[in-house]
Amino acid sequence: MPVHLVTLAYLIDALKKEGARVYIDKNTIGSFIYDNLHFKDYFSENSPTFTTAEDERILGLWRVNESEKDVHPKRVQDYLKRVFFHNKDLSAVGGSVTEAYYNIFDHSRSTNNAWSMMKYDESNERLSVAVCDCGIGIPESIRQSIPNLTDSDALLQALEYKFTTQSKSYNGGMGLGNIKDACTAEDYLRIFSGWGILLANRDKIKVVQTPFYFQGTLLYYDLSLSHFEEEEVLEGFDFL
Amino acid sequence: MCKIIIKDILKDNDYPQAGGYVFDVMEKCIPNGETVTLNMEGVEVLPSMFLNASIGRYVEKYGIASLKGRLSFEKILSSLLERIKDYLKRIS
Repeated sequence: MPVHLVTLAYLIDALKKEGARVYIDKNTIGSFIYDNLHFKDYFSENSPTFTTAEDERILGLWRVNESEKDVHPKRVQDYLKRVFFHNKDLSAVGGSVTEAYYNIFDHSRSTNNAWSMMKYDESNERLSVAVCDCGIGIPESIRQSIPNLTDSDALLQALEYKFTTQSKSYNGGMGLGNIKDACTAEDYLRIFSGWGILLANRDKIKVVQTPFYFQGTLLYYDLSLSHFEEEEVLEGFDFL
Repeated sequence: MCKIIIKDILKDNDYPQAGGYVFDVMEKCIPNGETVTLNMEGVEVLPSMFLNASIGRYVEKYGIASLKGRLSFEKILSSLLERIKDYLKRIS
């Protein structure tokens, strides 16, 4: 569900920037979107960047912005620890969302139409994360270093551990690869960008050329948190 | 010995800036025979932007052997230590 909602927010924002008026029919699922998820608040002047959803299983919609790119991952971890886990080591979750958000600011040249949302399903202990932006897209960013790649091959290249577009001095690759590494064999990662889709889990990667174009990047992944262990703090460690 | 409390550095800096600070301290101390200790208390995330700007940049410039016996961690989550070990394997 987060993947659909960030895409909807992206669409509404794009339409409003074109001067369109957008109505949500509150007689259907619109009521949940409009009131429970507070969509009504995000598209007006002085709109908040984040609101808490009424449904505790959902961490509300966040309008991705650079000044909160380190704050929101902390918000994610605090939410999961407060509501569902108390002493679990969730560093892999916080790390993966941090990589996804920095990816937007470092590569996408997105305007402020970028969104993130996540939902934890207690019944199967799975966390769904979605991030969407309307920037230049991963293929275009990759082609600045390697021209002539197709969109799907460019997506494959983006997961190479040592590959970097060097768009920032600290980009040494491994960012998107780290999101994949947070997945087990049962989890999945999907990235839509340009004319390509990348489908991956811990062990497999597949790319497909799509018949439709996605302006920007839509990234979503689904993680099982059941295997996450209790936090263990080591007092000291020396590299020998 | 040079000690850096990473949580304090992250209060006023984003991950790349904090990584750059750590690199500067490593570059100042390790070639002079000093050890660097990174105190990781309260740190729950170590993204690639931090590692690339700190340890990764140092290894690229001075080689991984230069870290042996010169870099240590305290109060670190076991998962983050595994992440650093895995990172070093991949870049070396």
